[in-house]
Amino acid sequence: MLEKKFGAGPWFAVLLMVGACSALYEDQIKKFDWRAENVGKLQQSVVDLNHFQPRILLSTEEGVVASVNVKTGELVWRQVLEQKPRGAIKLLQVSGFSDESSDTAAAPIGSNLGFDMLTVQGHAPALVRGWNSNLGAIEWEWSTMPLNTERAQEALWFYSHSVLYHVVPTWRSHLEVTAYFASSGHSTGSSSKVIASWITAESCLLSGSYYVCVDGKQLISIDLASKSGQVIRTALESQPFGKLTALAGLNGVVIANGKLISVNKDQSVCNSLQSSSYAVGSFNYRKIVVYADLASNNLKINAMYLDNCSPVVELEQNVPFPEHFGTPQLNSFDCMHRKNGDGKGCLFLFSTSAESIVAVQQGRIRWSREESLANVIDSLFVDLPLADSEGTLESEMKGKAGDFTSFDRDIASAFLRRITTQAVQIRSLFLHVIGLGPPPTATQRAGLVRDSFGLHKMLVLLTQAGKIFGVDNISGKHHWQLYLPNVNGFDNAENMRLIVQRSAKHFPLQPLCTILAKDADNGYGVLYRFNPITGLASEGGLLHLDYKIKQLSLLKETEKDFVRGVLLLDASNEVHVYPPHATPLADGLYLYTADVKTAELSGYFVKYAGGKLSSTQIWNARLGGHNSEQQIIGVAAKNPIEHVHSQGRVLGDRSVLYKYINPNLVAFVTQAPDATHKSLLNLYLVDVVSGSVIFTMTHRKVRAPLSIVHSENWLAYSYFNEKVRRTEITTIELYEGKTQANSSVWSSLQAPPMPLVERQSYIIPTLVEVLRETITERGITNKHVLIGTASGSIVEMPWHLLDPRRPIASTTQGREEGAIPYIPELPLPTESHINYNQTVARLRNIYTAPSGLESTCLVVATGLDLFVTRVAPSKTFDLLKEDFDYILISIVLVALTSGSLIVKHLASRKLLKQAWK
Amino acid sequence: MCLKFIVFAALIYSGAGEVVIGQDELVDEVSGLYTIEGRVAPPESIFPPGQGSPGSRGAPMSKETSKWQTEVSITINDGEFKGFVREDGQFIISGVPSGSYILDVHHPDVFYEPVRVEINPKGKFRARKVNYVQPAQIMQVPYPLRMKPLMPFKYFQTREQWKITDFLFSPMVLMMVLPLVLMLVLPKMINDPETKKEIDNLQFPKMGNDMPEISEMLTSLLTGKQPEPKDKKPVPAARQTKKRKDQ
Repeated sequence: MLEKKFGAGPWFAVLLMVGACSALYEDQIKKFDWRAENVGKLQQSVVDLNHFQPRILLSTEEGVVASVNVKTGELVWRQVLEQKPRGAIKLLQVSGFSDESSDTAAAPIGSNLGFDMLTVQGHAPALVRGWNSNLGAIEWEWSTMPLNTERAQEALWFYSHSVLYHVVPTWRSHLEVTAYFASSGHSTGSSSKVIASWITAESCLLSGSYYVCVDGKQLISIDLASKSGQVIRTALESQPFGKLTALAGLNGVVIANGKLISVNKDQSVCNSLQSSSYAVGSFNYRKIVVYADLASNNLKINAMYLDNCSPVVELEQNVPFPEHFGTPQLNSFDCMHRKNGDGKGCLFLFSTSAESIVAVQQGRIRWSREESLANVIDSLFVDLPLADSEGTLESEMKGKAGDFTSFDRDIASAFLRRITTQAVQIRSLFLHVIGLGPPPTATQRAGLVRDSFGLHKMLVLLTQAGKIFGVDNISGKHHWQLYLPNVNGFDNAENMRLIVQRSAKHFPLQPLCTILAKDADNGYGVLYRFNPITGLASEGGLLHLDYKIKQLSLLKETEKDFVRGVLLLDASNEVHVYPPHATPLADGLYLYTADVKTAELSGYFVKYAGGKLSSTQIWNARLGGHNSEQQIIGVAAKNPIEHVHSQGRVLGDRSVLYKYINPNLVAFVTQAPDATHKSLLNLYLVDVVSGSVIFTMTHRKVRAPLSIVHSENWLAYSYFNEKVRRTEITTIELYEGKTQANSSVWSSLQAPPMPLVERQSYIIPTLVEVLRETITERGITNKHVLIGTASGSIVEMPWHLLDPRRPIASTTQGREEGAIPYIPELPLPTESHINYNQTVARLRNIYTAPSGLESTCLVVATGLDLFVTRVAPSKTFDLLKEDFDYILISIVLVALTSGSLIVKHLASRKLLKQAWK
Repeated sequence: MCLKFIVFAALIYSGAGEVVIGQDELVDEVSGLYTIEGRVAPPESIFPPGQGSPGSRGAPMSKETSKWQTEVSITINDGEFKGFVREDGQFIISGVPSGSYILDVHHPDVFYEPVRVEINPKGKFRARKVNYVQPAQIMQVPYPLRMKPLMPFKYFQTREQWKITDFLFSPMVLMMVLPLVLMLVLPKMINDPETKKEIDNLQFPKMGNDMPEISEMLTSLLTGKQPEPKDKKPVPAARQTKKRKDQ
């Protein structure tokens, strides 16, 4: 009876703990978190300044249609379409914006037949949607399914006179043109095959209704909208170098070698122009062509009237153009309709090679949107530098870095130094107060000084386009940007990497970050070193290597300058270290590689002898299965900065179950189609030093999407179960047993005992996009798993709920351990959505980093949007609550003290009286 | 055979080598792609009129009403298929092959229950409640779908408000108050003057010995004054009386 009572105690505690899992208070909204909404790389845009509500309508490569505020660049509305290939936007057509009456829809806006704005997306089926451009709500939708889906991939669409044309080319043979009434999808009945044996994928394009191909020194074009289908040949001065591009807004005009060429005899162009980008619009009710070029960081915008080819002087302007935007391309522009306008009402919209959207007005950049942030591929939280005064103290504490000889343990001199630094501090404080202090440095002025809890950090974001951002994790401000043109991700589906070579801990030395990428031209490795606080290149900045990077690893810090060297394995299995003076530290290191396609793993041993590094392959493993069908779809190693605080788990009988903590353990997941089970998923836990397979598991009738997270002694992964059509999470815990083989040093080579494996599967009532564990400074705080769902929420799930040791039968032992009885479906309480209603569209990844506080973990979620917050898995136990009642506690203190004084006085009086009795 | 039929039917229909979906049941069958239809009730239908939106924007719902159509997203399979809501709340998802799907209506502030939609290869639609734990259990819901908001999401904890009753009934305060009551009230309840005197003589001197000295030290520390000898005097006197009594 007594035992039962005791058993219920912890049980209750657990329930309470789960129930009170840290949630936000309503007044904490936007206090620790911020969200940035992006749309992706600009594809097509329409600037409309003459609408009753000026706006920019745009479509992007990410499959997003949006409306943007002209003045600020903020989103008015945004619709995220399906994922590619279904969501790839082929055409954005806005009616009623152009003064060209031929392009407007026949029916008025608002009726069911006309349209405001339409998009065509995908190819099999192709979806045509009409939108209300003011609200962003859909008005109608129809779709068409081509019978030959392969050919339809190359299909093109154009719009003319309220008819939508679908052009399907069959290379070197013919074009199939089908016409539909744009807003209903009914076929007009006219569908034609145009025989055109010269068409190839590389040389052709659609300009308005003209299908134009290059053939040597001439252009061959056909007007697809006309009934005749006459072939027009236009001679060129020289053969075009690159691909042709079409000029939107002018029917039958193409740009070849930077010159305008019209294949439409009704459309004249100014042939003398030479520029990198053009756009057509109207100014003072006359049609003009605007062209823009970049020359030595200056963007020159010029314009010409189309009717007489005379320059439009009002629009000529020079705009200083920062380098980090990359090369601009004029996308579209519009001017306020006014008689004799002075050109100040014109807004030019540029898309750049760094995937920014830049709006230029009146000779300056009005606003810009950084759309490369829609594709973040790596992120880092970097400590901010210390304030100067603290810095001197810091250097005193550990001796002058880089100057060890001068530091002796002479007490007198140490005391003297302490006194002088404090005197200097007092003086600077005094000067600061009276306003005579030294001017703060640039980083200090920007507020980039470390706070006492290490919660304020610099968030460095690396994007697919090669643009790098330094973002304030509290305010979301972009402190610096830099752009690396011409870099790519690696082979084997590996992204570029962002690594810290020197942290901000070594005070007089500046922190150092490095980006590892592949040169887009020759495939060789590229290193870019920079200071993550200022965004300036350091140690020479860009470095081109003369080999391909296959694998990389970080070495430990050098003693001289505290740099962590990068160990690189190249395609011919040679090893290199950068910086070279860290080479001796690579001796005795192990590396592994995994080929995604063949599912082959290899392990290497690095040796340093005679001033040279060499690598030897020591093991390899084929996970491809007997017919080599398996492909690796997930690799999960542990976070290298992770600390495991508790070595074991206390069981109900007060004995300890020791965790199997192997730092070299990496999980590999492979998938292959299977004849009987549709799809097989295999999990392998491999010790990558010795190459031994610690554990394997097979799931049948299970397929990707797979997300996996690996930490301490546990592993959790989610997959789709095809048999019961639901997403499940399987969790695994590894234990050494009741004794520890070697409590001080772990060695993979001394054949450590095989672990005990606990496993369990849970149903999760949502689609999982990504899993990530929280991480804290010392690992004392509980670990929670952050689950990113397809709808864009991030759910904080305590490990107690995912624990594979949750007992199925409610036994007393399990209860005493503090485990909750097994329930197959995991709860997703809305209180644990850490991003409340700030959903992250197309959530792709979550990154976590420790803060200076043990209780708090910094989180950034990336996808189309960006969301930054912090979580405290065990609540902020090391911090006073922010609603801590200072007034109450001081009132109580004062009352108690004064009360005791009064009582003392009274007591003494009473005693005196008694003594006199 | 089947392929031939498809081609044949397609030729009859459009003659263009393409099939337009969403206009004719026959075509749906031919292309093997179907259209899911339904209607979403606006999220504010669960809020009593005049109440603010439960979101962070803090703007009243009336301002947001025009935008709920862009905030709602209707997805199948993690955005593989999507539907968009018209101003009147109607939606279609076109070009969906036959199969079993979970249709999610997601609004950042309001919860809509997901529905499993099954389209068999003949083009028959069936909608039922989602049951992950027991997929065999079937509870049908009407098709075309009617998605109603179930409840607003409750993302936030409510802050504890300071109340006098909470303070008074907290165990700490009770623990402090009860002995105090015992100390003050019990002596008064003793009627016998002899015992009363005894208690007074026994207990107070002891208290007088320890307690005031600590507070004295505190006050001297706080005020910086020397402890006054006047305060000390009664203490030895009390001790003497006590000693005398004991003897």
